[in-house]
Amino acid sequence: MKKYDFCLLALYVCLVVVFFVIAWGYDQTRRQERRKGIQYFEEIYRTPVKTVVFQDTDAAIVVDGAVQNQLENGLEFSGSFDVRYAACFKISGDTLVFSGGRSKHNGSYPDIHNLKLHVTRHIRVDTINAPNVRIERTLTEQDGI
Amino acid sequence: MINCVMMKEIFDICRFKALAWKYYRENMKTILIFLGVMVVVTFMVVCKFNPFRMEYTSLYTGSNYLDRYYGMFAKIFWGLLGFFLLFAASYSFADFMSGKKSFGALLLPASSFEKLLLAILNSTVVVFLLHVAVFYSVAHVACSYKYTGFKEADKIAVAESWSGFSYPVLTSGAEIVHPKVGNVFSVVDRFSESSAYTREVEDGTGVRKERTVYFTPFVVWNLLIMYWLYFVFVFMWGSITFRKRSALLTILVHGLFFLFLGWLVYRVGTVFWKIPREEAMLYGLYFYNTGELVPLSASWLLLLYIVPLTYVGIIWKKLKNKQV
Repeated sequence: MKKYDFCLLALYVCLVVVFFVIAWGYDQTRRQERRKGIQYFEEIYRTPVKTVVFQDTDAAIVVDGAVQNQLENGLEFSGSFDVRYAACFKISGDTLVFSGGRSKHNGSYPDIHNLKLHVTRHIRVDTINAPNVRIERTLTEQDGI
Repeated sequence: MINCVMMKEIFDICRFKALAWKYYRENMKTILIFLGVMVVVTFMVVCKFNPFRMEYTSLYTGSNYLDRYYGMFAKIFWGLLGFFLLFAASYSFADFMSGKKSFGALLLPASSFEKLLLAILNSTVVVFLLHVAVFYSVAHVACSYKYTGFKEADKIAVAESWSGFSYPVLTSGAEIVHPKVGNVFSVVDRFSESSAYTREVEDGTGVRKERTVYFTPFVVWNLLIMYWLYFVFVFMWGSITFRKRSALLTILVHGLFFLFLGWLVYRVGTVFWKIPREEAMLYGLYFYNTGELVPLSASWLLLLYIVPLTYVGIIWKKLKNKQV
């Protein structure tokens, strides 16, 4: 090994650094998107919601009842969620509307397929053209009986 | 005038021609042996290491027999090219590293640039041209007798040959076909066609548009040439760095170094890209991101030419030092 061979070493190290810089840039973009998604949900949790409407969507969401939630507004999400679809949730007044989302991922399953919504009994849930939304909470809870 | 003299000191076409002539005349025996090895190895590989065993394929309507062997021949061509380049590059500076010949080689009245240029031309262009010529002739010969296609309807019986393989007995006048070697360079077009992909890109105004990103034939050709030069220069570097077993030591040094780099990238990466819980979870909900990344344009990869160029610069510097 001569001193010139260290130039090769430096070259490879530079390439690795460039790789890291590019990868770090991509990673920051993803993190930013995720942070935006989380902020969106924090906003939903802060808003007093009385009605949740699922409209014109293929998303597979399970709506379950909850006696008491950790959150004040009475709804809580669990499972996993792709932040790309955060904008599908829209708040208008005291209503949370979910609509849109790309219909199928690879033609096999909806993009949103592992999301569960826990709602307390004072929140009303409606579906309009949302065939994959499954409401599992009992009628008793829905009606407050 | 001074510039002209300096240019002549670095490169003079007459001197270069004399150097090349001397090199080929003195190494004719080695070159012929290398050519012979190329022919035998190519023939054996093209014949799947058994030139006496014929391969008969019964053809059905719609089967594309002529193109069937294209993939095999393309793989053999590129694989063997790498193999021969490895040897040629590893021995490119053998004279400069050998105890007996090094004085003669170094004191030869030619500039180090001319000596380097000759070594590069021998390890790249000359080996490549020889390989193209050898491969196409040998593969053509092999195709003309080893691989045969016939129509199933023309088969009467199956006979056993003296060397133990069975072959079909065909009706008289039956039509037989032999596969074509094809253009092995069309892999570039095939690759650039198959690597075209589309991404959804958000423009400055927030509108999402589809953009098609191509590995154009120009980019693919350049990547191929870049890889080819890189491969050759790595082994040429080994040839001028190690006195003995240069190919083996080059592979070992580079292999160990790349393993170390891979380990380093992995270790640093796991620290860098560890997602903290607060960035991924909100109460019971886990957030993930499947957004497709928009890659950099493939043209940026052309900047990687800096790698083979650095190698060649270092080889030149080492050769100059030796000469001094």
